[in-house]
Amino acid sequence: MQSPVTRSADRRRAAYSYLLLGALLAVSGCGKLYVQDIASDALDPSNLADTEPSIAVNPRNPDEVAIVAFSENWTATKGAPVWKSPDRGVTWRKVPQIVQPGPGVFGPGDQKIDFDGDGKLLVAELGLGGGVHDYVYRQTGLPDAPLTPGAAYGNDQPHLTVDKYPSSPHRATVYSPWLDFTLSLERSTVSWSTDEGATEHDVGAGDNSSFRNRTTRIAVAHDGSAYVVYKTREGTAGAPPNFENAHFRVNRSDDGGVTWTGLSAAGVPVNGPSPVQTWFTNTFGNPSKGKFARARSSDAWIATHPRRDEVYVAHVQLDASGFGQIYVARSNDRGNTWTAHRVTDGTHHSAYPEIAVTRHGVVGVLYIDYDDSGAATIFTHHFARSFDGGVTWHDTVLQSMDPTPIGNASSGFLWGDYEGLTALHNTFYGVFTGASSGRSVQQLDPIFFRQKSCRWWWLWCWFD
Amino acid sequence: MIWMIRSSIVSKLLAAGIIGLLAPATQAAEAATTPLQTMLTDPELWGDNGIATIAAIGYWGRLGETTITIYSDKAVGGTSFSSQDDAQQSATHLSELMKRALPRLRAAGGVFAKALQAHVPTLRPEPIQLIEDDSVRVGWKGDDGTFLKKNVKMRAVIARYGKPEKITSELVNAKGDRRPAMLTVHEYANGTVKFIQTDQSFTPDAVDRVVINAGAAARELYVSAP
Repeated sequence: MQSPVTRSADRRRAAYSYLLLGALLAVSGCGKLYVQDIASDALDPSNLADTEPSIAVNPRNPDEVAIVAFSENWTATKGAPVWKSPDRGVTWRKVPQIVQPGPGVFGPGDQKIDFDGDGKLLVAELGLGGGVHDYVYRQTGLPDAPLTPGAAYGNDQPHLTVDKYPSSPHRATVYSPWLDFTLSLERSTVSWSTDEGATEHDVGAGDNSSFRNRTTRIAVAHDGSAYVVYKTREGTAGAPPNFENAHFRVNRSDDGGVTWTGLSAAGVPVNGPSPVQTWFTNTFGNPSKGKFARARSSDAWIATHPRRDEVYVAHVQLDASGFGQIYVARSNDRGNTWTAHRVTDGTHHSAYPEIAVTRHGVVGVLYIDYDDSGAATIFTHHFARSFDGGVTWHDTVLQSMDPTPIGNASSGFLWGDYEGLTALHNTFYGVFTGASSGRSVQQLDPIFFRQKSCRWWWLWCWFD
Repeated sequence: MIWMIRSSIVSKLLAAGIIGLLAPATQAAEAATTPLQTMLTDPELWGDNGIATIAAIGYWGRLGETTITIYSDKAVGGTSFSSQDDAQQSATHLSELMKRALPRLRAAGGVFAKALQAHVPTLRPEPIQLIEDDSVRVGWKGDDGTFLKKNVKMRAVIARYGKPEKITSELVNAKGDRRPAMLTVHEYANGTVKFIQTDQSFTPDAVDRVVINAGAAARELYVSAP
């Protein structure tokens, strides 16, 4: 017969066992990669290619996910669509709310989506009509009502982010980087707005005193600092075909985008004083073995840790492997110094990196590589994660495809210049343009994925 | 002998008869329009400036252009200039070339001759910036629909001229990295005429522009090289 003390200890052990078992069961389900084609014959009857997707998650309601892609053009009477999911990406619908910003203006021509800190949608759009202009759209009515376009600004490839941090002195400031092609040497420029795009202020952020700029991407840190990464294009001397010499430079604004001199006038090169070689090509792939893509501004992305002074830059670098590789450079001192590690394995040409960081500091990189060792070029979308601040990487294949037999895959612009990756709390949310599933006609579609990302023993992370 | 004389006369008569029969036929052939000429003078496709552009295609050949692209509101050469100044020089050169008469027109010359007389003198060569690829071209501008008729659907072209000999896709990049235009190219007459649709259109099923091979069209239109 057991004593009361022994029975109590047994009960406690059993309780801990059940708790641990429950936690493990929860953990094993939570960390699963979820991948889904968000289009269907009903939602995409014209079989559009849905290229260059961008993604955002509502910080007020993480169940709400929004995506834009080149899905339908706006007209005078109907808006271009935002793909919306109310249930973390399980079901989707299209809301035609990106209206024509002015008579005769064609678009979308480039786009990027985000939510503000209050859970309202923001979209940056490029429109063509009597020139090239950008517009930030803001939500002024109900969530599905037509969005309101703001002032015309900018030029090529507008991106967008908004300061969502409650403690930031620049909370709700909207930043939109773009490339100024009206100058003889193109310049990375950032427009800032404190009224969600109704009025815009353009500020040069890149150093174009000697070299053309390109690939301008932006991220906001928890303290309200804003960071841009851009490249200076420094010629092709010594570079193999399809590559050029470049520096990937980061600069910082500490005053809501009014000035971009936080890291000196030109910013700090994340890869050191010597230039690296990166893609500048219209033929990413092997043209003799099928379709290919352009990669001219598809070589850098930036993200910040949501709670710490860490900044991460993913970029392309041709290295000793002989392949264009994905590197992630990390700064722990607000962009002053950088340490880089390779994400990829040195066996294939890679490009199109996007990077995001979760609340617990897990770093995710979405990228593409190709394998032309067989009869056809096979492009593969990867999602790599680092649980140690970007030092080591765990790679997952999202999808491999041969785009050549896919009718709506346009050689030269297969998925666009960039795709979508973001993080909210401890989950990554991404979208890429890939081979469809479950469609009557095999085609390119927007493919959504999400993955909660914690070490298995980070119980507070799993239940966060 | 008599038989031989008769035979010779008969032969001559026969020959004369054949020649007599053939002569009107030859004249008829000269007067008839080929399918390509029918396409190039089709009032359902072209406005007055469009017909005039085709009639005056020899000027473009003299300028060294191998293709002419006709939009609803303009016609431009195929050469992409790096600056407005370079394009202006070429425009000035085209103005000079337009002062020299073109060779005599072949069949269907009536329509083209009228267009040459009535509309070509109103066309002024000038640099034209194309937003699609950020290029500067030399061309003529006019009101919307006066070159290529507005909203001509590709299915209407197919109904009139049959299926295209070839359909291809073409991607057009700008200097920057905004969304490129995806063109669908429908070829007729061994590529002399290409009807093009673009996805960057409010009416993507409509013909956005027509590209004409200047050399091939000139051979079709003129009795001698321009």
